[in-house]
Amino acid sequence: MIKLENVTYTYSEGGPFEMTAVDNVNLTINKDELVGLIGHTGSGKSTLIQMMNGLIKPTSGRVFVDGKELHNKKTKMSDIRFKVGLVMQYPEYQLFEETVYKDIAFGPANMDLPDFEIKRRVEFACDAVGLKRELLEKSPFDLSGGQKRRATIAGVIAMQPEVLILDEPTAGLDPSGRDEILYRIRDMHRRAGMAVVLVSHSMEDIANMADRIVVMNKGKVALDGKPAEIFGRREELESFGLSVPQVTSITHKLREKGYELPKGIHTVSEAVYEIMKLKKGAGDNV
Amino acid sequence: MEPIIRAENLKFSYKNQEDGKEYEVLKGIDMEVRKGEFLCVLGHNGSGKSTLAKHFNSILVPTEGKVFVGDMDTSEEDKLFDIRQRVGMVFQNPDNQIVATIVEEDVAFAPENLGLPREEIISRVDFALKTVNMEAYRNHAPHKLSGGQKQRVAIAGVLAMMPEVIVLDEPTAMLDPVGRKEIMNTIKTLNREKGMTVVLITHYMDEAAEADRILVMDKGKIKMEGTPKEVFSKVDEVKAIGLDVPQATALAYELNKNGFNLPLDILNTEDCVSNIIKELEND
Amino acid sequence: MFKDITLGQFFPGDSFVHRLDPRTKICLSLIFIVLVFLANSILGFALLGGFILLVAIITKIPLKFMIRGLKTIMFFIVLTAFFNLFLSTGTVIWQWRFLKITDRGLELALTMIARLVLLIFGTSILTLTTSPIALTDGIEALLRPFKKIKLPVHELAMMMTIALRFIPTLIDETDKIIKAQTARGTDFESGNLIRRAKALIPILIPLFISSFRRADDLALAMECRCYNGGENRTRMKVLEMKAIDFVGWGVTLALGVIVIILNYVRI
Repeated sequence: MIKLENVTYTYSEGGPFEMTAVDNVNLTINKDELVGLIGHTGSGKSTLIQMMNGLIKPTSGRVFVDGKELHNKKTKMSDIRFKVGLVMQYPEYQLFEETVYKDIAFGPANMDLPDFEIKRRVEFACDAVGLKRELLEKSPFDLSGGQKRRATIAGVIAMQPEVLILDEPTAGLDPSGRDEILYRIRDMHRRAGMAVVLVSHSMEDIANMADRIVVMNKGKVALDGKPAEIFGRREELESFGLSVPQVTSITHKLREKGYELPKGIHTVSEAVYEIMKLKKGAGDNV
Repeated sequence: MEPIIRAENLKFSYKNQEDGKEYEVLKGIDMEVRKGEFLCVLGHNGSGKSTLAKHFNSILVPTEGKVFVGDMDTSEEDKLFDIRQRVGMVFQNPDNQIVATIVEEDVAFAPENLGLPREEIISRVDFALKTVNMEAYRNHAPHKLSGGQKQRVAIAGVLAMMPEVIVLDEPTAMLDPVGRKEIMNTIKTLNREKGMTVVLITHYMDEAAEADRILVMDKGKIKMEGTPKEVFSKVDEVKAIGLDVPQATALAYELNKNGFNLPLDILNTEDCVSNIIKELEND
Repeated sequence: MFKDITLGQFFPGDSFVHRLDPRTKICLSLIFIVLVFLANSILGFALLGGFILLVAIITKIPLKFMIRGLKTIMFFIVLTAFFNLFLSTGTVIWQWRFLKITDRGLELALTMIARLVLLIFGTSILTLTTSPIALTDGIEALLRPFKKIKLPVHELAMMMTIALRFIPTLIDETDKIIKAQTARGTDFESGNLIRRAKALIPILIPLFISSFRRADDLALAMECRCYNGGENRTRMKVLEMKAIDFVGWGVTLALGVIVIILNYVRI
């Protein structure tokens, strides 16, 4: 779906503050994937995702969306933007219309769709993020923090992109607001078959959500694999300035004490399951 | 321990401009902040925790009931500056509370407002920047700093007033994990080493776990109170309010459902590991 | 796309000129500007040019930064020179069809170019060697006597400081909003003027809203730090005239006297 080939991006090239944010990255995002993208601030992940929908043009290397090369005269940029939906960090600042409906409809309206189709899409997006339809006629500025966040995500979903990229969608939300948004994203990913790239600082969120994890460090892809593999490499993650979920540390310590647990346990339910097996196993041996 | 801030049957309501209805945000709160403690007010968005915090330095005054700072009533207007100097306040967005274009000048802002002599201002700025470990950046421009560094400058700006209590209203909500750690370390230094009374308003349970005492707020009331261990061991109650418990506590709780017999006041990794081992060996 | 804008054009350094008190620099720049307009002898201009070149060298700022300021108004300089050159009366020294250059026109044009170039150079050196905050402090200090006629000097300085503080923040924010709206398919590049103007609405409204929210937050934070206007306020940094300031004054005043004398003893 999205393919990055030897992509590099350098800020203020040639100037005194030159800095390479993304360094020769090769990465493919496939259809039907839910990819977690992690890395500490300055690892290049924000630049990377902005290259995926053409907001930033790579200094060198090529980007393909659906087989079409970006920044090529033949490729219409707006088509790419509608195919790759990007929700930026703290998206509340982009709200500007009089009603929530109009704001969600802003993207689809830019696609020159007929009114009935815009309406259908707004309602679809509204349901997808779990926003009550009666809120559609309210001013977006009267919504609560969590509702604003969901309305802005709906504004991108309403374009019905094939890939949805979310940069820190839960930043600043409380646990229930966070859980709601993550649940909606996963649900939509499963039902509508939208590929999702989720950027997050929260290891717990990524551990609970992703099928595949890409770890960025110093502008390069440092690790790429299934969650169990990635979280099994605790020392490496820590050397990148990242932590692992607390359950991963707990099960890791138990392994060190000689208990037989698989590497890279990263959710509470998985840990419960595996520790229960130990208890039963110990019981059987007696 | 003597209380520095005390709320008595504090109620606060406001009138919505649009529908003209009264909304009661705080529904009768009795609480106190004790000298030298690290108190955490935990609650989800809309629970009233920030509204409560705004009563501590008289940004808001109660609709009903009273709030005292020392023996000063926060609704007495002539005490306003005394109260604000004694209770310093740090907000969520570090960008929106830094006034000056150079770090040290921002830290000097409050002492300048207090009309202190120049030597005193300089010594306070030195002290404040040292305490938050930002001396190396004194001549930097704030907009070039990281989020955690900006927030430390904001804390220094409040410290320079030499307050007795420092109230931080979700200071880490907009920061990355590195920034959050910096702020939590700064808070702990303030409390443990400098003996400063700290009130931290947050919805992050891992931050609350570091406090001496937690007040859990929900729907304008205080629902739970106690040490972190006391509060988090009531897993059902905490979850019902829409808050998290540490994963270690959640793990112990789930294991107990399946026949383990672990204590529920487990908060950190080490406690959890040693207790699971004990249980497994008893088998 | 806005990341490359540097605020003002302050070029940090530790030269003699950098270390001068901002008040000194502002006053001396004003004196220099007056001299540039008073001078009317070739030697006078040569002296002023030599002086400003010397100052520029002392600052150790690469010359290309100073010339950058000239580039932006190059068109204006050429235009005024052109008008002066061809549209003045006097003895004709060169003619081609209806275009003629007179001795008076040539003199005026050259004087004009010299004045504009010196003007730009002088003010560039002021802004290149003085941080915006020092400039604000300097202006506040110089305007202080006007407090007596109820000029809100402290308030003006405070506003300038806050503006300087928030310009980079708002630039960042604008960048983010543009990106977010572009991601939703706003097209800023194509279409007619009305269409393009309309495309600005989704940027301006969020920017205004966020600025108001920031202003609200900042006002609250300032109040929490006991801000109460300029009353009884003290300052950490007090501007002090040092020896180098007197040297600066001395040199500039001497230059002024010479330039004025040269005006009368025309060579």
